[in-house]
Amino acid sequence: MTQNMTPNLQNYDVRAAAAAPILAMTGWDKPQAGIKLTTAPPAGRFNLRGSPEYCRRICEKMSLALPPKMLQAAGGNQNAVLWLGPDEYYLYTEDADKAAHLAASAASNAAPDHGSLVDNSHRFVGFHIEGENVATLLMAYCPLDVTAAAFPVGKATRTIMAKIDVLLWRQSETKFHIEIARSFAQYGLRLLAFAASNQAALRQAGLI
Amino acid sequence: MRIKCPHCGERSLDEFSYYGDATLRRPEVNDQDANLLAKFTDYVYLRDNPAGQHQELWQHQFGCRAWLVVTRDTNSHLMTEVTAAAQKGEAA
Repeated sequence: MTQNMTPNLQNYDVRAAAAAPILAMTGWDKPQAGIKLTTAPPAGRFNLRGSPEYCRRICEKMSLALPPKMLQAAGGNQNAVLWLGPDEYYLYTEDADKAAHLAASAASNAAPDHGSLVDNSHRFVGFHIEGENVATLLMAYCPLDVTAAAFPVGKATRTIMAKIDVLLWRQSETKFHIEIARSFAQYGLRLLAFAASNQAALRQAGLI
Repeated sequence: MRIKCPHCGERSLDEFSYYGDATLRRPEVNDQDANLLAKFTDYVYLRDNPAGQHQELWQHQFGCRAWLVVTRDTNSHLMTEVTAAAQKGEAA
């Protein structure tokens, strides 16, 4: 049986379309407490695990730059490699050609030596959270210190937000990219909306 | 409570999963050994419950995914040492 290795890129558009109602459903169709939450553009996401040599080889083949340190992102906001753990990288690309190429090599499992490349594009949805108090908002549910001093621009890590694991990636002083598993996205966004309304009330009362 | 992951620094306990005693070793399988069943029963079911230092396995499941060997005082929950299991394995 021949297998079609070329991913259906229409799916990426479908995902973007499907993500739009979620903003309205969760109260994020307008900014809350000075925070703007929007869906990230459609993107390919790949989990790369294995020996450092294997990971380097895959990234070089895709002309993706590797971050110099663990828990950092490299390569810009559209085509990035996030170094999440000693043997784990997260490849993120909004470039449809690159995504298709990576998906094909993930499907063909061309170099299964001491590593794995898995297409996670449909598992996660990405959101951009922007605003001056973005760190305060995230820390309502993340036990991690995400203030600029502890979590500088370019840092990326997996962590816990309330009951779910998310991927946090700081793209600028006031902007985070957050990756949430698709089925948890509504839960995560509702939590953030609730925290935003609380913080708006507290700020209005002069308590924070 | 926080655990100081060697890769990520101090992180909330919520990000970690506990996997029990780190000092367990699977018994050698030898058909001639009359105590084999007793040894395996011990290995699979029986655990010490020390009051004091305990070496245990944790995984930074919702962080860097690394396996860790943690030395914890069961009286105070003070974690005196956290090492990556891979590193510990190389040293052994």
